Amino acid sequence: MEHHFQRLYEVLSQVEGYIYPNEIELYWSVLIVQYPFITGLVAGAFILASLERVFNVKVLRPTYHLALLTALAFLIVAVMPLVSHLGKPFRAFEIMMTPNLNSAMAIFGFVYLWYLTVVLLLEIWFDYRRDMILWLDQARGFKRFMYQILTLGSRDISPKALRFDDKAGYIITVIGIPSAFLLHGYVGFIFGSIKANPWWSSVLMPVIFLFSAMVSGIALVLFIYMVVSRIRKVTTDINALDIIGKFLFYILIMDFSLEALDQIHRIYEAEESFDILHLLVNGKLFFSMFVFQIFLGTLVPLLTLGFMQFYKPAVKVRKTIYFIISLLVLFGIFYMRWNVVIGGQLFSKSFYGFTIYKGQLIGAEGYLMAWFWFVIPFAILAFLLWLLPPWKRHPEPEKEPDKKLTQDTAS
Amino acid sequence: MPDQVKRLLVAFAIFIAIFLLARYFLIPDSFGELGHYRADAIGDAEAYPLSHAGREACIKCHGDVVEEISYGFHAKLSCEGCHGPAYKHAYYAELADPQNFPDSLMLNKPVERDFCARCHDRNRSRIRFASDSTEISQVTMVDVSDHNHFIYEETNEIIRCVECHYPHSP
Repeated sequence: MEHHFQRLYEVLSQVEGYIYPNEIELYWSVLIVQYPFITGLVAGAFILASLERVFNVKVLRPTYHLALLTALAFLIVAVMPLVSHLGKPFRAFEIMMTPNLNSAMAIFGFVYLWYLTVVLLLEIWFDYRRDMILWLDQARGFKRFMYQILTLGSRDISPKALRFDDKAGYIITVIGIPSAFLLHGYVGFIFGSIKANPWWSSVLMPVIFLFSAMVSGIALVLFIYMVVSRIRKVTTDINALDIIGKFLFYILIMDFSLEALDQIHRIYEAEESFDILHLLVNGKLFFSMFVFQIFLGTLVPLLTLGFMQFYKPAVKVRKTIYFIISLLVLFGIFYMRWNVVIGGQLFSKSFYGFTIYKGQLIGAEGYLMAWFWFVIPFAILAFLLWLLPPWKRHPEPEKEPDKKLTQDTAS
Repeated sequence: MPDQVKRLLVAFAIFIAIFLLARYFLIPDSFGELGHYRADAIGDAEAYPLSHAGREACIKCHGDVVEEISYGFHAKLSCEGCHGPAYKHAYYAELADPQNFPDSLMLNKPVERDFCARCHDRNRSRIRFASDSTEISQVTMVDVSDHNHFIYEETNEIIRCVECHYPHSP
């Protein structure tokens, strides 16, 4: 018992002002920052892919499959930070087994499942089905085994079947866009609907999360496209980069405007929580908000991309700029999540005190674990690119129907 | 229906069947009987060994002390809040001879300064101010490290709160 009191007094010496006992420890750690960050990357990457498919932006063709596979690699890991954060990870499945329809968090399991199975997996499956069947004949060993499982034993690549695949893929993408909006809007909703917390409770939260998700997902695909091209020793398509840069610019403007609107609204309303929030952003969140999120993560990319809409430097310079901007945007959006999740727990609901967040390096909720869940999707992506390389896909069948190949496989 | 869709539907059907099967085996029988939880959990909780006996049990033997405390500032405190869980103590007292009470079942009589400090130490989060800036607090607070800091020369120990304040009627 003495030990507990000693620990309590030790912790009490680190908080400021008046604080309720249950606010001393900050429970939603860096892993809960990682969760909306990774989910946002998924939604953003998918929306970029859908631009090519549904809105027919042909110049984005080189990044279409890469964006889809990136979305899948990150989606597989998206809930893992949450599972790591749980003290009893196996209880995670209970939200699926006994769904509570009154809980926004509990229903997220089904939103996630819908997005993973019905949208992403199906779309990639219909897109790659023909290629997997064609690759199956040449592949050996594990790769062949994987194609055998993934094709589900189907060998039909007749023009009729392929037309169906194409149509199904298109319909799924059309369904996928609102689903991607739902997936990330939902994450914002979870925070936005916590009415007890004035830093979170805002109807704009789902929309802000959605736009910041698009920004981060587009930046991630830009980054991965450049890195993968460098590894494959091929030149990146500057037209695709320019168009991605343009979309990033537009969506960054919307994201910045929405966030500014949210803050201006908060400042103008100046409710009773305003004083503590004012202290919060000027004190504990100063670096992560003004320097990392707003200056480095938003203003620098915004001004640079805006400048490049009028003046285009040499191709090599532009590529370097896009590379740096993609990293800055990812960095900024990570800190946006940080400011929401950690910032919302730093101040007391008494509005008269602050607690502290001391991150650990190791341990179940440490920074290393957060990095681990950020690195794992890249490993999964590497595996997916090895298994389903977009650059080795066979030419579109509509243009040159390969009758001989079709007959060979059918026989 | 195209061949690949048939296969896909089979894959989905297997997935859903596994899910339903897992649901069938994993959901406890009593789930949902009383609400969105396992009704048997109440029985499980009831089966835990009791630790606290409650003031009614104390009155049986210590009626004089309970009456004494009922006139003072500590009237609303639970006996077991200071003396610790008393279920075994009370249970044994009903069965056995009170004169031969085993030492292991005797309850705590905390007298250390730190113990009183748990509630009475000065803590700024507990302070509230009246409109004329005077402090109002439901619990009397003193700076325990400073208040009547007398040290006995013989033992080099600090004076204990209970030497001036009688805990049952402080």
